[in-house]
Amino acid sequence: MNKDEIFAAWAPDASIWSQWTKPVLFAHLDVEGTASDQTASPGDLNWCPAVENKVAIVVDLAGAESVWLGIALAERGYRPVPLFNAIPLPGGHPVLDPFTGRKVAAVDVLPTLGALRPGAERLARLPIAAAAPPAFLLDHHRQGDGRAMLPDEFDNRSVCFTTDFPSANFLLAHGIQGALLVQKARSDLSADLTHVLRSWQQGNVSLKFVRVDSPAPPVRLEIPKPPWYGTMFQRAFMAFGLHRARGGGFGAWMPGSSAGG
Amino acid sequence: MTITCLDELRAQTSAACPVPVGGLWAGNSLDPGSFAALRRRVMLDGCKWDVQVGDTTALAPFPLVMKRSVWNQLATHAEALTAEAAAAEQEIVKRPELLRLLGLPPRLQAVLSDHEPLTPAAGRVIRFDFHFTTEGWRISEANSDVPGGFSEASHFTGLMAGHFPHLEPAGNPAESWCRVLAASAGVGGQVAFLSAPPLLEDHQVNAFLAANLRVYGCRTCLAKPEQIQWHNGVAYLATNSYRGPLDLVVRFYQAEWLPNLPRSNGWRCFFRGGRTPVANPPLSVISESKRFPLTWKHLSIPLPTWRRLLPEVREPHDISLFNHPEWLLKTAYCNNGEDVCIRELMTPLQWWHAKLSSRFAPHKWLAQRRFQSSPVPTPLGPRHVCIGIYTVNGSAAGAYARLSQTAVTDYAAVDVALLIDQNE
Repeated sequence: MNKDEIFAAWAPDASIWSQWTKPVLFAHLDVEGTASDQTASPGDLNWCPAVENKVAIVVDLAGAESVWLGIALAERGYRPVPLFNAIPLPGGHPVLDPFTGRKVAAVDVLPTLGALRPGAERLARLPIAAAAPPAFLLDHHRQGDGRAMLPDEFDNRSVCFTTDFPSANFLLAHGIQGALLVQKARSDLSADLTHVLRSWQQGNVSLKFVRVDSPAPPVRLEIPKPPWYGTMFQRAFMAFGLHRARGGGFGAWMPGSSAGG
Repeated sequence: MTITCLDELRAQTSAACPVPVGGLWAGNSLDPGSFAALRRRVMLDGCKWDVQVGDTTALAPFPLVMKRSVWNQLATHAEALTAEAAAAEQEIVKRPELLRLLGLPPRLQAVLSDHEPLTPAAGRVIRFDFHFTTEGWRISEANSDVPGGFSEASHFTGLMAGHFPHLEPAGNPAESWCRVLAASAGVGGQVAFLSAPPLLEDHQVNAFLAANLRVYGCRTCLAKPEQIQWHNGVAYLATNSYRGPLDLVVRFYQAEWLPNLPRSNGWRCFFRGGRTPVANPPLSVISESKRFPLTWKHLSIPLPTWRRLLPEVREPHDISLFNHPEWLLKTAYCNNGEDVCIRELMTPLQWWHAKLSSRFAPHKWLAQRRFQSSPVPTPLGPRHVCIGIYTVNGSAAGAYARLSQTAVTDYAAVDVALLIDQNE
C-alpha cells in the first residue's frame, strides 16, 4: 500500500470521524525503515463497551501499542482515529545517529509509523460501519518518554489540544454520550489530555477510565476543576500580557504559535 | 454553537455566490469527491497538518475569485507598503527613542540600539493583511517578521486552481521565497529552519518551506533556536542530524522571543554581529510591532501608503477610548488574532482582562480604530475576508486568504484559495 492507500484505510471519507485524523505521520510514511511486521497483542478486551452503547474511546498508550489497540477496537466495530502529532525527522535524515546508534529525536515515532502500515492492511479488510463510534488514538509519550531530553535531539514533542478533538456538542449531536479513557495507569493523565476530557465533562459527556493492564472494569472518571492557584495564575498571565495556552488550557505556558502570522 | 463539519459543509456548498463585493466573489464548490481528494493531497503532500480545528474544517471547498484589476491594485499597495516600511526601519533603528515606542523586550531594544553591524539578511518576505471595508480596502496589520500560510497560499491554492481553468493563482509565495533563500544559501548550502516546539502548526510551515528549498539543492534541517550557537558571527547547528556551520538560518520563531534564550547561546547575532545570513532580517521586528504607527509622526519620511491603508493607532493611555465602540485593543506583537480585543466580541471578564493588561503594560498595547469589514456572500454564508498579500524582496508574490464568521481573523478562520479572474 502507498501512503495514500494507508491514509484512506485509516481515514475513509465515509466516516464522520475521519476529518480529525492527524495526517502528519501519514505524510511521512515514505520514510525508510517504517515497515514493521511486529504486532502487539491488545490483551483482554472485556472492558470494551459494545458499539451500540455509543461510547467514544480515547486510547492513551505508547504509540505502537495505541495503534494495535485501535485495530483490535476496529475489529469490535469502532472507528480508530489516529491523533499522532509528532513530526518525524523530515528530509530523509537518518533516525539513528550514524556514530552512536542512538535515536536523534525526543519522541521515537518509528514504532508508530511501523504499525500504521500493517494496521492499514488489516483495517481495509474490516467492515466498519459508517456510524461506528470513534476510538481516538494518542501516543502516551507525545511529550517525551520521561527522560531528560538531550540538547542535540530533534525536539518533536507535541501536545494535544481541545481543538484536536470534536467538541462535546458534536459528540452528543452524533449520539455519543460517554467517553472511556484507556491507559496503563491513571496517574499518568497528562495536563493536555486533562483539558480535553474536562471540556467534554463540562459539555455533559460522562467519563470513565480503565487500565488496560488490569482486569478491573471501567470506573467513573471525574476531572476536577483546576486548582485555585492554577486559575489564578492563568488570569495573572493574561493580565500581565502573557499567553494563555492555546485551546483553553491552564497551568502550562508555551509561546503562542507564529502560524497565524 | 455552529458545527461546520465536512458533511455539513458539503451540503451547504453546492452553489457559487457570484455577487462581487470589492471585486471579490465565491466560486463554485468542488464536488465532494474532488474536494476530498484535494484535501488529502494538501495533507499528505503540502504539509498542511491542521486541516481540522475542533469542529471546523479549515479548508473551504470553493475558491474566492478576485478581479485582475483589484489584484493589481492591492499588489501595488503591498509593494509600496514594503518599500515604505524598509525606509522607516532604517531610520528608526538609528533613533533609540523611537525603538522605545515599539514595545520591544528591553534586551532586544538594547541590541538594536547598538552600533555593531547588522547581521546580513537572506531576503525579505512580508505579508500584509487586507480587508474590504465600508471605506474600501484597508490593512489590519503587516506580518513583517515571521509570516506563515505558505502551504495554503501556494500548494492548496495551486491545487484548487487546477479545477478552474479560467482562473489562476495570484502567485506562488513559497516558490518565490525559496528561490530567494536558495540564492543566499547556494547549491548544497546547509539551512536551518527554526520554530518553537511543541507547536505542530509552526513545524508544518518550516517542513513545507524546507521541502521546497530542497528542490533547489539545499540541505535543510528543522531545529529550535536553543540548538543554534554563534561563534565569531557564524551560526552553528548542534543536533544529531547535523552538526556544523550553517549557510542560512530561517526563523519561524518570533524575534521578540529570542532574548529569552540564554546569553551563552549568542542570540544577539540574530540581529547584530552575525555573518551567517538570517531570514527575515533583524529590522523586520520594527514594522512587525503593531505600535510601529506611533513612530510615524517622528519620522522624516511620509509613509503615505501606510497612512492611507492602516487605521489610526493611538496609545492606550486614554481609558475612555477603550469603552468607545470604534476602537479595539491589541498587543504590540500579537500574531494570530488571539490578542485582538473587541469589546462586543468578548465576555465582560475577557474585556476587563484586556483593559487591565493594557493598564499594567501600556507600552505593550495599542488602541486601533476599527473598520467595518464588508462580508462577502459565500456558500457558507456571509464571511469576512482577509487577503494576506506577500511581498518577496519587494515584489508581490501571492496571497493567503481566510474567511471568518466574525470580524477577527483568528485560528478558527477557514483557509480559502484566492484565484484571479483572467477574463475581466
